[in-house]
Formats: sequence, C-alpha cells, structure tokens
Amino acid sequence: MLFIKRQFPLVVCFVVGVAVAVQYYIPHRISQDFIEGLSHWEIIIAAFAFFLGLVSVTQVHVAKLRRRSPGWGFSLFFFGGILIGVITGFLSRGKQITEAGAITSFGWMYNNMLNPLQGTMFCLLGFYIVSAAYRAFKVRSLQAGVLLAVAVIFIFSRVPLGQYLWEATIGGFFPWQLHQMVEWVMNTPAKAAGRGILIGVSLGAVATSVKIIAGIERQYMGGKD
Amino acid sequence: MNDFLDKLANVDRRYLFLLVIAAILFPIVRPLALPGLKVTDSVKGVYDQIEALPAGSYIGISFDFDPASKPEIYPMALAVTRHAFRKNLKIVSMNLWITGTGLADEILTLAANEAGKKYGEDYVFLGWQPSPIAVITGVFMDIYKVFPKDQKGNDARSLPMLKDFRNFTQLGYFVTLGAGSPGLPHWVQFGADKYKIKMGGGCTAVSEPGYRPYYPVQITGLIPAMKGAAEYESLIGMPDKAYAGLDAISLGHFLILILLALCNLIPFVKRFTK
Repeated sequence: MLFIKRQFPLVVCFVVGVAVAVQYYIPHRISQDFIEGLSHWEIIIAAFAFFLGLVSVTQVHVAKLRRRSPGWGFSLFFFGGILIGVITGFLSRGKQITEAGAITSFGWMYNNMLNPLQGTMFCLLGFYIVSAAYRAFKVRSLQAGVLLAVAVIFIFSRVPLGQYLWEATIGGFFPWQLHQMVEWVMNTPAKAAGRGILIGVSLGAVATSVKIIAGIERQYMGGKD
Repeated sequence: MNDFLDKLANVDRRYLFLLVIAAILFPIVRPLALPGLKVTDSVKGVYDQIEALPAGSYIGISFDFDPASKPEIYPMALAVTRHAFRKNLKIVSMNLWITGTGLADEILTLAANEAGKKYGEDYVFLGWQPSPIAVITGVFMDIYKVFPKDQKGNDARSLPMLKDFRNFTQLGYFVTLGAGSPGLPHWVQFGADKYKIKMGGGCTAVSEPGYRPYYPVQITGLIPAMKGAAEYESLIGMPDKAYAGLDAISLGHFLILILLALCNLIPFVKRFTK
C-alpha cells in the first residue's frame, strides 16, 4: 500500500516524463503514436477531473451552508447556478441554437446572463484603473517621471486621436511617425527584455521539471518536499 | 484655493467613475469619427498571410477567449473570419476556452451567412475539448482522435470539407485569437513551431508586450486589442464594431491623460500658491 502511495507515482512520473521529453526529438511513427495516445489519455483524464472539481467545490459550499459561514447565501447561488446550468444544458443537448435557428434555453442563458456578467466584471477594471491612476500615479522620483513619460507616449500612440494630435503638433519635428517609433520600442528594447524574461522563465520551468521527473520535488504528491 | 485643490485631489472616486462613463458612452451615442488610425506592421503581418493564400486552402482559427474579453477579441475574430471567407478559404475552427464556444459559433455563423458559406463545405467548428496542451498536440497529429465529432454533434470524418484533411499540418495558415492562457504561447510551443506551420495571433492589449517576443519569427503578425481589430477592419474594407469603438477608446485614454496631468499638477500648484 505504501508502495502505491509513495513509490509508484514517482515511477510513473519518471517514466512518462522521460518518455515525453525524449519523444519530442524522435520523428518516428512509433514516437508519434505514443504521444498521440498519451494526448488522448490526457483529454479523457482531464474530462474526469471536471467531475472531481465539481465534487470538491460542492463539498466546500455544503460545509459553508452547514456552518452558516459568513457569505453562506452565495453558496445557495452557486448551487442554483449549477442546477439551472446543468438542467438547461441537458434539455438543450448542449446547443445554443437549434437546427431550425431558434435559440435554446441554454443559449439564452449564455447570451443574456454569462455574456453580460463576465463583460461587466472585466470592464470594472477600467474604472478602478482610472481611479487608481488618479490617486497613485504621482511623479515623486526620476523613475516615476520616466514611467509617466513612457505611459503618455504610449497612450498617444495607442489611440488614433493621440496619433493625429501628435502629427498635427510636434510630429513634424521627428523623421518617423509616432506609431513607427512605438513599434520600434515594442519590437526592439521591449522585445529584448521580454525574450530575456521568457528564456529565464523557460529555464526555470525546465529545472523544475527535471526536479519533478527525478523525484526531488514531490509537492505534487501532497507531501512537504 | 488650497481647500479647493485638496478637495480636487481627494475627489470621491464615484465622480471619476461618472467621467469614465461619460467619456465612453458619449462617442458611442454620438460617433465623432476621430481621425488618425494607422495600420501597423504587426497587424498587416496577419492580413498579408491570409491574403496570399490561394482559394480553397485550409486556414485554422482558434477562438481562445470568453465573454469577459469580448469587446477586445470579438471584433478581430469577426474581421479575420470575414477575410478568410472572402478569400474563399476553408476554415477549420475550434476553441480552447469552454465559455467561448457560444461566441465562436456566433462569429462563424454570422460571417458565413454574410458570405453565403455552407457549414461542412466551407467551414467547420470542432468545438472544445479539455486539456488544452493535449488538444494542441493532438490536432497536429490526428484531429479525429481529439474531435471525433464537431460542435454540432456530426461525425467529423463525414464532413465533406474534411474529406482530405487529417491534421493541422495541412493548414496554409493558422490564427489564434485569444485572451490569455491557454492561448498563443501554447500554440507556438506545442504546435506551430514544432510542426513549422505559419501562424499569427490576436490578443488583448494587456497581453501584447508578453507576446511580442514571438513576433515576427514564431508568429507572422499580431493583432492587439480593439485598435488592432480596427486596423484589420480597415484593411479588409469592412469597418465595424472595433472601428466604431475607436472614439470611445480615444476619449477614455485622453481622460486618463487629463487626470494624470491634474493629479501631478495639484501638489505643484499648492506649493506655488503657498
């Protein structure tokens, strides 16, 4: 039993990890079939993981309701949402529009509930950015001044009115147009920094992966190290 | 004077919210047609590739976004789909974000109806499957193992358009229009770069700097947010939602500029009046 809980996951992780990494460099039919089969497995397992997630989140909300924890009313909304979503989903067979072109109950929920709710949540960000910028974006140091200057130039370049105003006023003093200058900034220094970060992150990911495959990093098993 | 400046500096944020609403709503209600839109090379990088494809070629489009990012991604997705139909390309589409399935379906249906294209003959929508990296890996090997049925429940092999199509390596070009993860980097790392497929992308404004390192080597072009979508709409000569939203973007950004100037000027004026 202890072997199944401790050693077996490590063996599976090592074998699959090494096989998948090596497979990438072998352009052979057997190698292709192997990764194809593995990807198929992964999709099936991921589908089952959704059920596991549903069970887990249900347990959390049931416990909240039992204990009458603060905000327990939201858990009722959670169960209501799940129930309505699942029922309408089954009734509509997962389709939003029927073959005849009529909208299903599931489609109605998607268009009139999910769409505006998600859109509203995301657009709130814009309001808070404006408020935060007004309160916090104050030039108190040279670095803050540089940041503000870059922000202003980028705002000018990212909106048509800014580009128009720039060209109608000081744009004539520069040999390039504003959007060309900003494209250069994005494609040269910003990209160089971005690539550096990306390479660093990737090397870190490789190192972590090697540690997991070798069994040095075992947090995924639920232990400490 | 200083009292007024203090009040201005500590103005209730609800007034700022009202200003934002006014700056965005006004140009939507009364379009201003502000000038100044310039087409950038990165947007043209996607347009040129699609434009160069011969009629009948396969193009892959992955709609990797959800309703939260609809204002930024939907217009470019519609513009790219319209462009592909206008070029008589065969669209093989799918999505990696489950909550975006309805939007993808809507875009394809809308553009297909406009162009008089038929489902199964001119375009297919494979839908969504869990585990995005496995899906990306899978569609470059055998799409029927990942998507045995399309979004409508048809046997994918039975669709006339897919008669000679086995996997994404047969695509003339691939575009991912995404709002985050899973999205463009995954398509580059596990698909297009490995199988040497030309691809382009569209993204939210906040993702653009993060995706720039892939341009122009791994991706031929990048359409950033609503402005990029408006550029694309102007390239295909079909100004639509993104183009209409440019005024709101312009005024919204300029409101931020004014507020930034104000919040930095207030301490300065206060010191000067003392």
